[in-house]
Amino acid sequence: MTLSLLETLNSISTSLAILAHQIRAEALAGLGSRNKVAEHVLLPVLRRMYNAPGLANTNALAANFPGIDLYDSSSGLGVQVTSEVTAGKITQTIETLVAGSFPLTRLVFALAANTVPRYRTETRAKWRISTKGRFTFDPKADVLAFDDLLTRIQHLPMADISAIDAELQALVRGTHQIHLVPHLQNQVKAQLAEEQRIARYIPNVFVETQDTKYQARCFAHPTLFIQRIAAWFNRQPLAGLNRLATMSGVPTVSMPSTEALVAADTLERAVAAAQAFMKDIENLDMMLTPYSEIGRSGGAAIPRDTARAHVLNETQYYIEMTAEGTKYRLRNRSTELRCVTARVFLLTGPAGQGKTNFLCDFTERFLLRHNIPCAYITARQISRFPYSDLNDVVRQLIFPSAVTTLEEGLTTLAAPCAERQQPFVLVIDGLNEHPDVRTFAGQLEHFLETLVRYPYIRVLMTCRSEFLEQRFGTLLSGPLAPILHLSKAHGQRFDQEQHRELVARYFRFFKVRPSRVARRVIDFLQRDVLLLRFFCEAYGARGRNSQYKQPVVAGIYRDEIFRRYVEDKLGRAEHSVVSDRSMPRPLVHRVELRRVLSLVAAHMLDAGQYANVSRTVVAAALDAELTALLDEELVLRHDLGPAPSLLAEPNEVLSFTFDEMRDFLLAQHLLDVHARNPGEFARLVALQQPTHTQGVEGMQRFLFYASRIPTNRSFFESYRTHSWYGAVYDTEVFAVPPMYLDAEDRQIVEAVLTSGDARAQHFAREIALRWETSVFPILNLEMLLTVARHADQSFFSDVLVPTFGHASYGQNTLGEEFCRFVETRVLPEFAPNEEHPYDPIFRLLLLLLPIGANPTLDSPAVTVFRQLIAGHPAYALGLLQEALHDGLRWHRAFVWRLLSVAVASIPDPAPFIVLAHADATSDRSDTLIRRESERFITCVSAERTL
Amino acid sequence: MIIPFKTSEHGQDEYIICLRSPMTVAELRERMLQRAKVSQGSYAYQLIDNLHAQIFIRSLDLKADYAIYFAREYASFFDYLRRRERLPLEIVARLAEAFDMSIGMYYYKLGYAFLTDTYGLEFLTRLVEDMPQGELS
Repeated sequence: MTLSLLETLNSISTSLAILAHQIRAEALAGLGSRNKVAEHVLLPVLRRMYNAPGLANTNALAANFPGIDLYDSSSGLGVQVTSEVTAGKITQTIETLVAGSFPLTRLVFALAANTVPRYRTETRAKWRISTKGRFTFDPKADVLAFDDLLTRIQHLPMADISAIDAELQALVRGTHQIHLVPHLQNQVKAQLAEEQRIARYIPNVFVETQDTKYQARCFAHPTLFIQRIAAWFNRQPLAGLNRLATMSGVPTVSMPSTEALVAADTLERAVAAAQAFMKDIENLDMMLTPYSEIGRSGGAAIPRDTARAHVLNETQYYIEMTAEGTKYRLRNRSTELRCVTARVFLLTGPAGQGKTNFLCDFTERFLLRHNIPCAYITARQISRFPYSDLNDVVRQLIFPSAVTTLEEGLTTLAAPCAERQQPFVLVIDGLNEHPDVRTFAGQLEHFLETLVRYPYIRVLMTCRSEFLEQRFGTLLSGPLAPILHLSKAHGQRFDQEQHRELVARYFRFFKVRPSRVARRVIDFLQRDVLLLRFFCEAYGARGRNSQYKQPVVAGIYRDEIFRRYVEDKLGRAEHSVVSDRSMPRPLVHRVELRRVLSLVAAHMLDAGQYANVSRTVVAAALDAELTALLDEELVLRHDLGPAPSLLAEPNEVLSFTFDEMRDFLLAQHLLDVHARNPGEFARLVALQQPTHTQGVEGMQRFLFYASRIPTNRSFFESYRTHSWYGAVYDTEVFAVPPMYLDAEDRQIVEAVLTSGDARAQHFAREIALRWETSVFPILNLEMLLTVARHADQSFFSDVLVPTFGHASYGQNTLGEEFCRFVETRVLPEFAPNEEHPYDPIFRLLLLLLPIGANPTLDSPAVTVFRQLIAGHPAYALGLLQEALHDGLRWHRAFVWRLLSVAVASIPDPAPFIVLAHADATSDRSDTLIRRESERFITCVSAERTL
Repeated sequence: MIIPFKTSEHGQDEYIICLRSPMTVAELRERMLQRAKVSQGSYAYQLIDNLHAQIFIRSLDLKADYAIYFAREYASFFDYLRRRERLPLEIVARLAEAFDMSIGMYYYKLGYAFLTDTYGLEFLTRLVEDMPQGELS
């Protein structure tokens, strides 16, 4: 495509403008490498302008040319290229050249600036005299800036103009700029893919707090989001307050102008406008303070119209509320503006808050989608470079090899940033994950100081809060503090819909098939995000071979979840070291990985303290394994322990990442000890005091689970009589996979149920939920029904009523929940002739008929059973008939009432009439049974008459 | 279309008012004042005038907000409402459906106590809706 003269000149103008911008940026950063670039850039232009094809860079010539950067030996033309535009610089150069013996015929100054400054006439005259006739120098014609170059270029032949354009494009907007941004985008995409591969990044899950994300947006795209801040102010946030003020006879409050915010179309303008507006907000806040106290002494200074005092008397509370609310919102806007001006954004929070996920999500969804030049690295990656020049490590991690210094790469980014009016955002995740945090903290500070010298560079980082104060505290108080924004991440509260979405997204990411997970398990996982993560990693197909078939998961079996999870993590730790091509690392083996975990567990049990084991417990020989485990996270983590004294440095310590995981691993260690030395097992167990602490209870649970695994039969035989086993039996027997239970468990539960005490209520509650006999063959609802069938009247009052009819204030009873379950989940899916699997559910429903009943014999269970009669009359009648034959008295009147309702559906009422007559005349029947059985007889007669 | 809902957190009444006819803010104001049949200078006039400003000047236009600031970040308006604004799923589905037909979607957080519940919705509908029943005849 051939460009027109005008287009070509425009293109040259753009190249020169970018060069000027780059040089200015460098000057601000205290660097000067662009002067050298300018020499290269201007050389071909000047060759053509002065018809001096031999003009060359003096560095390339053998001789020494003080004061001259470009020289043509055939014409004697010498050019100095400089970004320093002071008169003194020119004077000094002339004096140097006059004093020397350099064969110069003409001197030209090419200023690396947009325009030539206005030098005084006397100065120009002085320059002419100072040459002493040694060479020609016309201060008017021979001091050139970029606008002069452009004017002169216009007079060249078109071919020369095109050639200059091409050369300038290549040099100014050349190799680095054309390829650097796409290279960085690829770097980021590759890094995000890696974070996904190791499951540190799970896309599309709700992770961030709104505030944090919004602040990050303002930080990373100031020119866009400053407009949104301006729009907020333009929506008249003071209107409500001013309306009240006018009504009440007090002065209104005026809003500062947002003109500068709206006009901020460049990064520099955005920063300047934000800084100015923050001051305006501060003033506004001060003006609002008396309004927020208008009814108190603090607001006494506000002038008032006495004629409106009666109104103010009524409105002062609203004025105070509105002013306080506005002040609160202004604080948010001020924070956002601070983010617009900040150069470093540091997100901090405790472990497990989703900082990495936030960072990845933000990079992928925001930085990349807005085409913001960016790069993504982690402190862990940095740590894998054996040398300590952080600048060079970062250069290697983010730039192509053609970029030889970090400064070169950063300078080259000036042009794309200026074109986009966006900053370059360097993302560094997990500062605390560098194994040598102490050394790294010092390097980081120096590194950041280098970066912030470039006005268009911004850094977005995360760090665990525990490490921030201890190791990176100088960032918060040192020279970087004024330009650093600290944002604190905290857990997000979800509503039920969001919890459901969260589970669905985790399942999708980890390739968990929901059809093979029981609904009750999914419901449970919605309430425990951490367990959800373990569950997904334990059962999902992600990262497994194509032969993997997800098992059906009918319950939350923690032992199984953690066992699968840890096995998987150990495998991944082994594999990730092998597959890490970024740095050669010593290979690790699963046996040694287990040894590291075992060492930590043994130390915890011996000390009776379940956290903060000194890192030195793990021998240096196992350092590679320890690092591999720390890299995998979610099993083991390192922290800073408490300092032994005020003067000492805190030690680095190891802990298992999550309490439940810790309890599981401690139990596994004890199991291992028992296999080798039962006496040592007994000693260690006896050491754990007091036994009601959370950690010991956790161990008891996991040892219980382990004892019920058939392969651990010998452990079970000795452990079943241990007090730890009995301590958790009642609760944990239901947390064991059903196939591991046996007839003895059934006997125990049956015995407890018939005893009718609080334990019986607990068991009744648990087995009522296990209605699927095929899934729960031993402890199930059928068992409760059998016990109830053979129990006396007291079973109803001692077990069923407290279990299904009592609830804490404001909560539903289990009976109500059960009825709702039948109504919303069972009945809609209930196909005729396929009722059989649901038999236990409806039999329980019949037992619950009297619970929550009113004097007219209506109850939640009656309501639901009526729906069954309406939809499935034959099936319902069969169940009612069966209930009459069972002979239980406590719900008999309700059964008769339901039969009265269903009388039209009874094909042959004769057998029922016999039973009804018997009940109506029996001494065993109470008034209610007599009345309802007689009602049935009456209903049958009425039906026959009809 | 006016979609009323209560925030799950505080149970506060909120409305999203979707405008279909292309009208200027001034035209909307005229329409509201005319429909309310209020006399200039009266308290009622001020009330309606202020209500108009609360909705169409001081409330966030979700559609414009999405288009200007969030369209790149969130693949769909649905996603924006769900993830950023945290609106209930049912409301989000209705708004996403109305997106193409609306020229503005104003998220009005109640400023007047009398605008709550059924009466509030009816009142707003009569003042603001594009085609209230009365105008059809």
